[in-house]
Amino acid sequence: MNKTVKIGLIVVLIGVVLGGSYALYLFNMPHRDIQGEDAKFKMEAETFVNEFIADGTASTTKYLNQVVEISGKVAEISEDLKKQKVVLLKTEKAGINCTFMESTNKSCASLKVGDIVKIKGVVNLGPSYDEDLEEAEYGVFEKCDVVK
Amino acid sequence: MKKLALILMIVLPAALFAQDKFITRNGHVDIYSHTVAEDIRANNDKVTATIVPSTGKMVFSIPVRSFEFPKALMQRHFNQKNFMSSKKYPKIKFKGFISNPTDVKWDTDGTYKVNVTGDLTIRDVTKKITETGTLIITGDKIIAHTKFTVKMIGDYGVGKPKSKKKKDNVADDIEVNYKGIYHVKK
Repeated sequence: MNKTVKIGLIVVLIGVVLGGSYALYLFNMPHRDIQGEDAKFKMEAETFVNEFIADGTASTTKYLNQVVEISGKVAEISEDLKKQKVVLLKTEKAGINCTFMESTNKSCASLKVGDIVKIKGVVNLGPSYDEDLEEAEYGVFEKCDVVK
Repeated sequence: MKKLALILMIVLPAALFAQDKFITRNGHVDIYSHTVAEDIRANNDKVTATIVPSTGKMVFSIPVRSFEFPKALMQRHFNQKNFMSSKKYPKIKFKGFISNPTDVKWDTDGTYKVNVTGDLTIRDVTKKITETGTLIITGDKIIAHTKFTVKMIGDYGVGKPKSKKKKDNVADDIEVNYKGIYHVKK
């Protein structure tokens, strides 16, 4: 076997191993660790909601899928069907529903209605007035935890 | 006057109930697609939905980004431009009416079968659908259940992969399962 063929084979082999590992990595890629990321925006719930009410499309482009730290007043603490705690930060025109996770649910234990709180999570939907619901639709923050 | 007050006392509670609006902001929906290549399942616990007993109007708003898949890669594909394009179309919407409203006794606890006809909008494409569901009225809350199939998902512009090899990874029909616990809107 001459040198060129040998080098060629080695290159192909490295390519296959690298390509295969990358495919395997993608297939088993872990979910995003929202709490491990730094917040891209830090703001008051009122400001966040008002920005969305003023221009939903632009705000969706800006905030959707971003990690945001939001501060506001706790209006309600409930639980969804997956047993995740949901903290509502109510604002004048709508509100933000912050959904916690199994691993962060315990952070809600010391919270009570009326508390001023800072919560970090990922934005999955912006708040708006929905004409079909004939109702303010709250912003959806998920994978939340309280910022200490 | 006394008579009027008495009539009002009897009639008013039922009338009030009929005018109320019921809402959930944490409804659950799961979707399932089966093909030879792969089975795809995803869960979403962030559905906002309303029921208005006086008109029979039912609305569902589903945040697309709240669908959670077992595999992160599937979740990423689901949100991409050629699939759900969640940045451009952040919600899936259904708006419809109960077509057999007289079958439901809103002021009496019980389980009622309902037929609902309305518009399903995915990626700005709206199609008329009619599905059946169950409403369980218990005290001051309503529990709604439905299970149906969204036929020919490609007709809503939900992209099938262009390459022939991957085309069959996504089924034409998607099974949908919904449960919501509604409370009176305060």
